[in-house]
Amino acid sequence: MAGGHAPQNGWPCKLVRSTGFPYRIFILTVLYGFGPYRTVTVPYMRSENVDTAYKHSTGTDTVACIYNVDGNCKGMLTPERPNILRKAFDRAKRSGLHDHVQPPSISFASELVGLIARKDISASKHTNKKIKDSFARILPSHITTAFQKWALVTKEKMASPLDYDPKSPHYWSEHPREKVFGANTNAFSTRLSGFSICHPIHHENTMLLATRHAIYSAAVSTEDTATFMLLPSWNKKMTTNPYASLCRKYPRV
Amino acid sequence: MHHSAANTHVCKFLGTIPSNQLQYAKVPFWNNIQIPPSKHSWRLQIIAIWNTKGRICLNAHIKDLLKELAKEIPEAKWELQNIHNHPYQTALGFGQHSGLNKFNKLPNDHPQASEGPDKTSALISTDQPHNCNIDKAPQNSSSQI
Repeated sequence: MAGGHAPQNGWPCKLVRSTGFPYRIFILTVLYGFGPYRTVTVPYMRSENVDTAYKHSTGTDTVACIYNVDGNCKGMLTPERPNILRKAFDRAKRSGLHDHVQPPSISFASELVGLIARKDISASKHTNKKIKDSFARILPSHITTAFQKWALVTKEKMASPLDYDPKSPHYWSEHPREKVFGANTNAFSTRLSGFSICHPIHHENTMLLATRHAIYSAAVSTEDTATFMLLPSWNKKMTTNPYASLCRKYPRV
Repeated sequence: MHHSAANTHVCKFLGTIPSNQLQYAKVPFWNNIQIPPSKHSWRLQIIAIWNTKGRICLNAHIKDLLKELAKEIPEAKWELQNIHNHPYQTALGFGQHSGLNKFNKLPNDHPQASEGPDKTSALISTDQPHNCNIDKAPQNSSSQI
């Protein structure tokens, strides 16, 4: 069981002291109440191996909670995601992707806290709730799987280490530091080639730029190129969407 | 619904997931408050943006792409029609577009060196570009995609 004491009253959590790594990962079981999400916490287990700490029972949701050294919960992940990130982190390290990251990567746990913080910062740049919420709008896995299986998709554009499909051989994320998790960064710095899926945040200009980038890539690429865009349509008429206007502007290449 | 805007050569409208059929995945992360996103009210459009080689490659790879996708993603309404292998015709003015000239200087998005995905779960294991063997693919014909 954990060192320190169990949190008693939901978030933020009890101060946790740790030595060695600046951050530790804990597993916390959150019990859903009625109405607004009421959290009741149970004693947590300190673990570096989230597999062994996973618990599941009816009416509860198990999450991995990321604490900073002050004991504040900085973010929560589904239990699977820390394992996905840990594997991606280790693979990237073995591949030498950590070698040129500045400041140098200290530990998986500290990178995890940084990742959560960057996500918060990215979302906080937008005041529109629809856009903010879109950071958490993740395509269901059967959709990405179908495109991987039938449409040769091997690249996931405009994703994040926090939400990319682990079956994707390659994914692109916004922040350069996320290469510590194996991400390729800045999707707009290169031409799209090969087969990609792209589900951007619901920011009109971002969607427009992504569509334009895909069109221009298809136009100039000498390689076989197809990008499958999944974009929201707010209105009944698709033609009112800016990205549809762009497709209309450049119908043929 | 008027689909002609995206149903052209470089952009092809493939289908729509209606609002009431659209179910996003469980949110994999939160900050310190576990609040689900609000209920969505929009449809999700699926659009392919491709070049001739990409289209031909897919046609050569799979006989009926849209029907296969329709089986796997039944909640979407698919535009089940043939995808042609006709090469694009260059539109006047597109080639002179200044943005395109700048774009031409960008490198391709070949991924950085890595060990690839979790090989135990990957459906397709490829760190290499897919070899479509375009030269052998049928030209100026319509397949049943």
